[in-house]
Amino acid sequence: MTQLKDKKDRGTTFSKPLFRSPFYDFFAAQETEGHWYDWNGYKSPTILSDEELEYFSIRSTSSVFDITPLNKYRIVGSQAEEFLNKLTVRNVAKQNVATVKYTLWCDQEGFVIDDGTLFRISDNDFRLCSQEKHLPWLIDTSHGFDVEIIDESKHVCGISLQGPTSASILRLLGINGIDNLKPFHLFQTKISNIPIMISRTGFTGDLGYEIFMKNNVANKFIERVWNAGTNHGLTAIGYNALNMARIEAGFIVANIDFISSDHAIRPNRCRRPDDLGLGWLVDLNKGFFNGKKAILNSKLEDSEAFKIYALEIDGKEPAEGSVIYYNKKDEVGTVTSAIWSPMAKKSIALAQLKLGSSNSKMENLWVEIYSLKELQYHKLMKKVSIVKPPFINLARRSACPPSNC
Amino acid sequence: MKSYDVIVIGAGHNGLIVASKLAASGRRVLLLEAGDTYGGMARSENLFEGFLAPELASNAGGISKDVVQDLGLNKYDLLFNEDGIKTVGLNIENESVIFGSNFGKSIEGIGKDEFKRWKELREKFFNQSHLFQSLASQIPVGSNHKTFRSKANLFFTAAKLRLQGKEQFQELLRMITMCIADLVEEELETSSLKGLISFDSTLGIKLGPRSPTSYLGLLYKLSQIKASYQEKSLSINGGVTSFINALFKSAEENGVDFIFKGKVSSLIISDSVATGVKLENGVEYSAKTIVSSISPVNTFLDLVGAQNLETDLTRRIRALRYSGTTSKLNIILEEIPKLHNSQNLGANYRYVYAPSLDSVESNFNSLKYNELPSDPNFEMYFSQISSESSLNGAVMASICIQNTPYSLKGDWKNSKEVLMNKVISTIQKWAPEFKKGILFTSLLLPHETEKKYCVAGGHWHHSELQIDSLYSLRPTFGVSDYSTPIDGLFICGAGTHPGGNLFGLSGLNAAKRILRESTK
Repeated sequence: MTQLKDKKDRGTTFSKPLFRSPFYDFFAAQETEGHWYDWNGYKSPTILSDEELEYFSIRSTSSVFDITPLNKYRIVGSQAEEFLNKLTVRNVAKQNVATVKYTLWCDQEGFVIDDGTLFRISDNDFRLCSQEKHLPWLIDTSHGFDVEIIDESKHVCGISLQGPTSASILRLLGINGIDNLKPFHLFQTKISNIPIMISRTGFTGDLGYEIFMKNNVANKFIERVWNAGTNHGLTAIGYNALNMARIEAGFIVANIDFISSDHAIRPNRCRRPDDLGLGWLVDLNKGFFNGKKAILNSKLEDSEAFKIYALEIDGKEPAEGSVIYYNKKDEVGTVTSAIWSPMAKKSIALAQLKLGSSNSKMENLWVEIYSLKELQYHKLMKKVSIVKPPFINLARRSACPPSNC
Repeated sequence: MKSYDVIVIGAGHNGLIVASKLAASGRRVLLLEAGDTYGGMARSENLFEGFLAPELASNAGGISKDVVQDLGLNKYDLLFNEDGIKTVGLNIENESVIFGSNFGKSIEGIGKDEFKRWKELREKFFNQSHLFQSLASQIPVGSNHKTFRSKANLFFTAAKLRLQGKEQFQELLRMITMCIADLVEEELETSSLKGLISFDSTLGIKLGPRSPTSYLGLLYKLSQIKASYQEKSLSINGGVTSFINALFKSAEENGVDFIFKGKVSSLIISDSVATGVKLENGVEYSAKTIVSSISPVNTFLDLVGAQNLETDLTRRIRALRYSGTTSKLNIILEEIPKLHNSQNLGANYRYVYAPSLDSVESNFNSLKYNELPSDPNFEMYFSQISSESSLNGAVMASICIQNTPYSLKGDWKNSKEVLMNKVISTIQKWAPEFKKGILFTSLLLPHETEKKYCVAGGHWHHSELQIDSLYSLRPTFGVSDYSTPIDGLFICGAGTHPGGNLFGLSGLNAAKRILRESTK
């Protein structure tokens, strides 16, 4: 079981007690210059040793990241598929057993509540992982369906093993079937009697795996993985490194790149799947689902909403939080996530822009970056070009079988 | 599959009104009713030795004039008595107060000063009920909120309110969420008068006189009085039954087809469009327009099914408060019992036992904790039975017992008897011959009403008539303009605006809405 902080660590009565994942001791031991933050109530690392080295372990060797704080819901029952078809926008009937799909779910206005990954473990057994908490929404949606929703967030833990050598590490652990595991597929197996569920998924756009297990076997498991990774450059990483990788992969995060309709206070902050560039997920030909009517209606109107775009920016400065202008003077939006991409060798960004229905504005976009150099801001106006995500495309991400390195 | 233009579900008064009105427009209408006769909660049941009478509804006072006129019900022998119904506020210790018709236009049994204060207070109440009255026949703002007509309606209603003058407007805003207890205690002294007003403000809803917004219950009642024949001190001859019969005749004459014992098990819905209904016996009927007059809870959760609805809506429907709070006691007596002061009990009187404001409040306290009230409040009507059977000349007392819990703490098995005896012994105190003349008694509790009349919670109004569930929030936001997210499906029951007793405007408004929206 996860535990609250020790009494002595808890500090003053008003400080927030944070949960510790079963992997906490392992990650804390890897810390040399640690920065921690509160991820969904868990004490989670932002940086363990060195942000850049951690990032490069994702791209050049292998990285291990604790995904225990994700919300994990188990959805079981004879109508689990029908229930998920009402809840989410994708057609779950088309999702095969032992696969994982990226999906999202909307409210009655067709506004996105959250995105997540849906694991189909068997015909009537699913796991839904999400950034935000949704138990009341899931339970209320399940009314009228023969389905049980179990919040297993506190009972199941997981790690994300990402990087070119991740497959080799799993091979060393004696897991058969890694070679045949295609992207977005999963299987259940055992490592020296530790039952685990492995899926070829991740948030990095690289070769990688996510592995879930019961809390009580976490220590034994991470020890084995760590030992197997010694000669494969396995590095424990924090969120910052992962964040760089996910921006390069063009993945968006709820409440960073868009505001979940659950959280939005101002009505014009809500976004529909199309606005997030995720309209392709929505299956309008399946039966009724939450938000269907509104999404259909919105297609008839000229959308005035902000949409998410992937941007490449001239120069080397990362454009975090900057304002985007049309013709250097009309504000059209803001950057939500940005880095200097070590792989693409470019300044890249995700931004929400309101460009109207015509594409005429796309050619004349500029970003105003305030670059702090020795206590003085340099105001830069840099040219912006809209590109199609992802910013980097790695062949090894989808290679099957993955190479042995 | 047999096909109609319109299928109406439920032959209660709202269902009959919609069916009749839509049939009059030339549509072919089928009315499906689960029970074996028409009338819904106002239908007549075989109570005792073949004697038929409405088991639940006893008061035909609040029937809307608009409904009677619009459907031309007068031609079906709907006759009116000249003198309206007076209310006797029963009080064992002191002299009873006799509350004149039209909500106490005259009062016997109180002092001159007290009456003067009452007169002012009553005038204020009636003035403020104007808001509700003018909203009652409007189609509420809902999914239609963008149309010019609904914007204009809202604007004119607001303007009308404001034009009453600044002082009156401020007074309305001050009072509208207050509790009735504060208002009457400020002005009045007579205990039984205060009890009577508290009782009338809270009958049928889950509030006590000291609950905030209980004044709204009174405003609602007064707006019904103003919109009905009560204002002219008229009452319908033959009461509930003749109204329901007139509605049935009107529907029949307009060519409505009826199917009784035809309980609908589900709607046929494809891609959020309702195309027909399926009965419990497996028979299906198709129609372009389906109107449900049953409770919104039953309509949405049972007939449509949560599978076809947004989670946001099912959440709000499931959060409705729809547990009934009133039970109905019917007693058949050999003859009209005499009062202890040897006055006769008249058929033109309504008798209310609510001796004080505290009595009503403490009754409500018991309800809050799902307990039986120790000294239950009730209202009682008498009607003379004239039939060819042996019952000729006997009298039926219909008694509404306020604050009966839907889910009692403990078992109803013995408590039912206890509740009935409590009421009878209260009447006995003041009419000593009452018990002797009893031929038959039956008590219908909220959970029994739910089962027998197929209405979730057994609630008179299908869902609470309170500030958070009125007008565009009735039954809930998004489905308040009689349309639903399911194309072709409309709702028109008491759970819609304005709801309430036998008002009938829910049905009339819904019919107008449907006529406006769709061609045949």
